[in-house]
Amino acid sequence: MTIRSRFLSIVGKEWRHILRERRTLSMLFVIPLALVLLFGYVISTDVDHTPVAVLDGSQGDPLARRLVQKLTAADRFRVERTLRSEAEIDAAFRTGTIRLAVVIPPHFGSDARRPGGAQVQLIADASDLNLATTVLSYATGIIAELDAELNDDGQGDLRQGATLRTDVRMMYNPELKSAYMFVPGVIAMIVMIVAALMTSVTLAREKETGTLRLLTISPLKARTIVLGKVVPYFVLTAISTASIMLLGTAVFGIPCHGSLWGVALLCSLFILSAIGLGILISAMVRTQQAALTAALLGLFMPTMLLSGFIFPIANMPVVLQWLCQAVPATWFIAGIKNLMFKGVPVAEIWLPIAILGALATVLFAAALALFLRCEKPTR
Amino acid sequence: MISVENISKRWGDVVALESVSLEAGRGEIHGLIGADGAGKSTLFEILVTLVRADSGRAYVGGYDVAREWRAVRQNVGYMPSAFSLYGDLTVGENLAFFARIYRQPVKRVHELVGDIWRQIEPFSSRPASKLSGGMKQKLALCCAMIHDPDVLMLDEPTTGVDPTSRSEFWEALRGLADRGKSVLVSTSYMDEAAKCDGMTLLHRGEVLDSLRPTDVEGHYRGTLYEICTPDMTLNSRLLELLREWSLCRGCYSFGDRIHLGIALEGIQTETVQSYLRAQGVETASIGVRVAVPTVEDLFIQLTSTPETESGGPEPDLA
Repeated sequence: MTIRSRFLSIVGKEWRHILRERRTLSMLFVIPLALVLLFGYVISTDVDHTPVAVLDGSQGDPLARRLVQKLTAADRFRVERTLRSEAEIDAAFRTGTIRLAVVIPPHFGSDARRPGGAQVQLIADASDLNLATTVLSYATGIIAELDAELNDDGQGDLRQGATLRTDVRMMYNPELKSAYMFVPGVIAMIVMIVAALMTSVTLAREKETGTLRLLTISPLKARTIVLGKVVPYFVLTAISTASIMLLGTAVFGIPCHGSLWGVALLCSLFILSAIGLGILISAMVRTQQAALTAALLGLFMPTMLLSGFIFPIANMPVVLQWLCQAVPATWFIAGIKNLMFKGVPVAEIWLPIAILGALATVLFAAALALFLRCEKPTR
Repeated sequence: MISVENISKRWGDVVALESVSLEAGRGEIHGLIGADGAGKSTLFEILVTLVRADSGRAYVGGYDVAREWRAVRQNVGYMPSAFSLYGDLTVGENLAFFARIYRQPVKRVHELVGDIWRQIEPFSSRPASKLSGGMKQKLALCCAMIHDPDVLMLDEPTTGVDPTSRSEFWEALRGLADRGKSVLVSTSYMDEAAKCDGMTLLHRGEVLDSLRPTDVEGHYRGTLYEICTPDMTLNSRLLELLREWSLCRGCYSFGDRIHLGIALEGIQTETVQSYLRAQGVETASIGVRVAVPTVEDLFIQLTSTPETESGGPEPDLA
């Protein structure tokens, strides 16, 4: 009872610190909101009158003209440019005026009547994957309709299988990085800010202002002091994380195909390891400024740059890929991606869970050991 | 209640304390007098068991600070030199927090330091950072006293505090001492030394002298003269002349006066006058009288090395 009340007094005091810093507190909810809305709307799609470039290799084959007509009929697409060679495709995308290129091969009409059928190539700009996916699904749908019409026309009796096939190519994002990636990415950043950065700064503040000395000579145990810090920041980060998820789901329809408990477990372990990192930083610095710098450079930057959030890990030099493995956010993002977007069972993401769990345990043990050392009179 | 025996401490190559000893009994206020960098804060850190001494022994409330540090912590109230409470919490919340971690009812503050608490109680809902310097220190004293320790360790509690609050603070300390608490208090204000029961003069980590305020005169070697001029612009010239005098053992400004120490016994005030006359000073309006040395005079005398005796170190004038 008494130990709990001492523990609770630390927790209560910490809550007061948090609630009193209105500006920081509001930032904690405004930043994720802004990030999610920003990322969300940047990728949001409007596929009316999508500009299209057409490269007609068949030089005006009737079937090719029918295809283009069909594409533009429903106001979904409009032909922005007509290209003459494959080399112009890249340039057309780079000027940013088109979203989709339709490549019609030579002998398109005659191919369609042969057994293998004809192939239309659709090339989309996958740097905006969400838009690309939508545009492609409309385009392939229209081509499938045309295919069906051709069958009804009675021209299909000569062939087996599809008359028209579509070959889809994505440009600029061959990895097909998920469009929803921003959700785990934003969560990773917010967790680093709230859990790691704030925990390290608040502990460093106790050092800097000398209150930690008073706590040290009080009957409080080092573990009570440290754990009393962990609980409020864990709760705060968990609320923040949950609100990002809810926002993503409610506003942008981001799916969660996997187990919610699995998501909660992964998030909790990630938050705990971030808090562990924060405590570790605060154990090694003397001032709030130093804690802030260490957290920003040592935790926040790697989380942004080396977690696969902004830059795909597979495209990095090997040495950086190794470094990425040491960033907790890498494992968190990989796990969440599989769990939420691919609906993988929890058992299959045991590796991220095990690594984050081990990391949290080791970091907490190290941080506690460092603070325990200060409990006795120091040399 | 506080007993320090030959405590030494180095921070790397810097000697913070060199064989420091002092004694303070029950119900006594013991002053630790010294300028910045004298080692006062280090001594406090050792006595409240934050830092381990390199050598020597110290007992606080009867417990060995090195071996029985847990017991020492239960028996000591500590106010560090920098304000060390939570600035964003209110006065009441700070007190309640420390009461809770020491498992004390908050109301106990009335019985322990009621007179001080009553002065800050009206500001109970104000954030601690918004208090004046004096109020902050009073709150810190209340928080340090909440577990009713036998020994109080106050590191420069009155630095940066206005004179009225300072004297109120000292009254409170006296009240605590009267109730049997031992108080070790450091200060760089020499005038506060007179309010202590005993004091230790600390300089560059070494004890210069340990004495009672009433013993200052006896510890002062030679005679102290106070020279009073009608016009303070004259002071700098007099200082220069007196420092060249072979009999002078320390000469420095003291407020608007000049203090002159002379080691030889039996020198008359006229001798000083005639020396000045011989140097061509119009002495009719210059008053010279034998003065009772203060702690500051003693401190200056003790810190003066023969080479720099005529100048002496800059005293810490409050």
